[in-house]
Amino acid sequence: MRTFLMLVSFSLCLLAVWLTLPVRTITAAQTDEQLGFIGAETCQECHETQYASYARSIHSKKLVKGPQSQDACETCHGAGAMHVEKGGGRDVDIFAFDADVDSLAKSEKCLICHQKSTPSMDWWDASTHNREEVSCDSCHDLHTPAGSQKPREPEVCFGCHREIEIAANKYSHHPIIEGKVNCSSCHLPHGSVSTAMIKADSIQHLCFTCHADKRGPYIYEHPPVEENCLTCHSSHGSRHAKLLTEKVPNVCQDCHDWSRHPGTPYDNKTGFSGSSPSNRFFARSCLNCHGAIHGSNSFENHALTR
Amino acid sequence: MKIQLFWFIAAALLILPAEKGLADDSVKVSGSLEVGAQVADGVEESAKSQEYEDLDDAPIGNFSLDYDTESYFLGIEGTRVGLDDQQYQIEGRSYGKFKYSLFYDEIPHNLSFDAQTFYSSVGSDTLTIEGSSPANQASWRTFDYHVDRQKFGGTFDLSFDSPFFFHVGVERVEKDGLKPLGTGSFSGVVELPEPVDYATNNFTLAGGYRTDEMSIKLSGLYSSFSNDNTFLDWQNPFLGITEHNSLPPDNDYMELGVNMIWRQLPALSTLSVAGSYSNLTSDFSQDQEGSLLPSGLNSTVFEGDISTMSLSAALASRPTDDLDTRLFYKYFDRNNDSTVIEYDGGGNDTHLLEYTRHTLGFDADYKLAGHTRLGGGYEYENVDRRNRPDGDSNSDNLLYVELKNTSLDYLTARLKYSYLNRDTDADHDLAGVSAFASEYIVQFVQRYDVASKQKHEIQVAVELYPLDNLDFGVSYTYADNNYDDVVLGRTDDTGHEFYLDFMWRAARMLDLSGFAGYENYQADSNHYNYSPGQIADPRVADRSPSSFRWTQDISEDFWIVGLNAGMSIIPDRLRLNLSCQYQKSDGKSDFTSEGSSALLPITQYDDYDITTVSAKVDYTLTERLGLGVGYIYEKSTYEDQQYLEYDYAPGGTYLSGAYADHDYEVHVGYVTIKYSF
Repeated sequence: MRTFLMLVSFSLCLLAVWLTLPVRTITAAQTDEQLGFIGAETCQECHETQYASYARSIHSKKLVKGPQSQDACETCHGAGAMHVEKGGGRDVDIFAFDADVDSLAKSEKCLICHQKSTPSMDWWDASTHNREEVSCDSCHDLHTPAGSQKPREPEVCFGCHREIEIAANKYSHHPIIEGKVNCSSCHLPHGSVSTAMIKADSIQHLCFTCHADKRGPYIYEHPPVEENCLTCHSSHGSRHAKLLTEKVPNVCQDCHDWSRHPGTPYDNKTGFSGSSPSNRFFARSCLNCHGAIHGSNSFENHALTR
Repeated sequence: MKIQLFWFIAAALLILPAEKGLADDSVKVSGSLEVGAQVADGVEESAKSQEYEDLDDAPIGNFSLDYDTESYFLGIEGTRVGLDDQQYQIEGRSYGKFKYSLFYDEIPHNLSFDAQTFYSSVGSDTLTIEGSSPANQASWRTFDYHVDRQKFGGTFDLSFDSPFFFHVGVERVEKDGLKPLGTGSFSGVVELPEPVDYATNNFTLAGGYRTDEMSIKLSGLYSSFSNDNTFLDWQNPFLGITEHNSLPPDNDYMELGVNMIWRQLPALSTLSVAGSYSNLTSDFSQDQEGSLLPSGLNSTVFEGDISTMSLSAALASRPTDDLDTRLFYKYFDRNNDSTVIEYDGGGNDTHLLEYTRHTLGFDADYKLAGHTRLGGGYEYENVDRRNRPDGDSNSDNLLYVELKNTSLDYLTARLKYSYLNRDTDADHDLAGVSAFASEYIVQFVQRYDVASKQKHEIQVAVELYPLDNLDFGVSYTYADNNYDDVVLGRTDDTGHEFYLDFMWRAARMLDLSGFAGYENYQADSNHYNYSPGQIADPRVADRSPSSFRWTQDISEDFWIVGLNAGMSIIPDRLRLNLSCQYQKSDGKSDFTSEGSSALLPITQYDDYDITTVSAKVDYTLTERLGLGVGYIYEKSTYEDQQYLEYDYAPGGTYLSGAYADHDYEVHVGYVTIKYSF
């Protein structure tokens, strides 16, 4: 607790220093640029394909408080006069959403509107994606037709999270590749203060959203169920049944040692075909008896067998 | 047709005429209708072959409709119509005013086919032995373990171009089917078909106010879970009595939350604060259990009552163009006010877990010269638990440092190292406990989820873009958890993960992408085979042949490779998509023992091979008509010592075949014709 209090004090000091800093905002330089605006018709003359896709997109809707209701193409790409004057060309005095353009600068273009119009963007500034320089156009196609603004899941996410793609293909997995569970079913890609940007205050609250039968409350609890499901399960996929981090009985015996069977070694001899078959090992091992592994409401049972 | 689906379609029909834009000149309508059939061979061999899908021979169909005007959008989509994995979605929005969605989704979960049991009334909450004999397996009945899930509901969001916003969502999830339930005692073990008849109703409500400088959001969730079966009664074939197993209880869950964000603060900062309170309740009495109650039971009624409180705050700043910082704090508290059940016999009272967690951290990223970014952070976490003596409290100190370089246009390189130190205090009350009593051993068991440890993790990743149309990425992660102080339990686990992927878009003719991965995992653990009456101290080299120390070393290797190709055989006319994937898992468990007999290693340890090949040809007949022909092949072989030579009735045990149907070889073919408009 002493360490914690010291850290709180340190944080408060940081906060005090921060309060003395000057105010900086991201919208300061907007008005001067208005001088060089040329209008969407001029852009269309050279960028016919891009204009056509823009015209089909939600961004072109007059009733949306977006580019169309402001300065069309130049709302996001900046004033085009100098670009035209210099004969055009990629990145020539124009803001392009290219791969080598600073990700924060690209996101700032979007945030001018979406920071106040999109509730899910509330946590963007503190989000891992923002800090890892993932810009909006990394996932969203800005000229996509109305109705398909959301990125294709899980393909877009797998583009960066290759370890998740591999986990989701393993022998035991959540139905992610089958299209029944999306990444955004559990995660908030625009940010949250939770670990891994999950949609809940804690891991078990998130899991209980779908697995409401595991909520309890139970007379006899199994502590990992009440604190962290990931103690025993992998969230995306595993080579072991039921997305377990290790197979039974080993995942159980790593925690349970006692007299009789919890501390008994189960080796090759204890399978169906072994010289000493044991129902503590073969088939579903510990779960052959301890079926109420997530909790039990039997009045006389603390071994989670009833 | 399921009643839920009927209501879904009825709601969709009600939405359409409500929009005046239907008569609008600017209406753009597009969509598609696809019909066909699928045939499959081998899918009946194993439930695993269609774990989350319906691959039975059947007609198949998909449709979509987009209706778009300047002011309104409506999108309707249906996939796998009529099958057990069908899905429907309606999304609509009046730009700047409101949006809504309706959804219906079925997820089958096939667990095991052709399971067997001697019980009658499979699917009910009372299993009796009638018309068959446990001793005569030929008289057992056959059934499938599977759970069908239907989820349906809708959302509505209202903004009306004002700073205020409002959201409401309703959802119902129904699950029904059978899953395996293991139960028994020292007299014998039985695997039962447990009925699943669950329903969960969720209702969410949120509203808030947003401006450039701040936003506030209030939200609420109410969720009720009901199970048609509170207990499963079953006739014990070993004892001849009726026993009662508790099943997941009905419960009610509510959550209230508030989020507040302040932007454009000094140093280009955003301050985010969130808090929430949740409460989970359930109750039942002995009348529902119906079994004999233990003597000295302090209460015949159990009232479950768990509440949680959380508070989070994060301050993200950019004091200079080159520096990003974040300061955060999280608080989480779980309070369990459920009835404490006690009865005679000592040590049988419930231990209701409660805990409080504080997390405080700071991290920063600084842009160095040469397009290099240096990041680092520190996080402190303290968890204080009640009723968990082995992990009464722990303090975590996490440090990380990260380097990212983008100096080359065609390369991004990243290196990250993190170190975690966890100190855990136990609080076992062993006063008066003899060193020869079983209870004495608990002080030596340190469970890996809370045990003191040091964790080192290194991540290296390189992304290459040598050509405009070629991306290549490779990454390696090393993670090692060292539980130095553990006497009994996991002492060390180490993981190596190596992945690569690429994507090559060769003009319009060919798209090629692929991935590969290799993982190695090793875990070591210490154990004690203790016999009552001996010294329950595993630190002492034992003298009794019935009490001995042993260790286990687990090693697992996993390989996977996948390749996808999309080829335009005849431009704008004929396209071929091919994909193949192979994965292999190979595990081993080794032992050492101080006992009198040697322990034999397990070499078949979740070993499996899965090969998948799929091909699809899309042929454009006319501008609006297309033909699709596809084929999927998948073969899976699985070998594990726990399932080799599976026996339904080994000594003292009656199994049902749950998860025993691993191997399969499946061929699926399908043909569809698609009309687009």
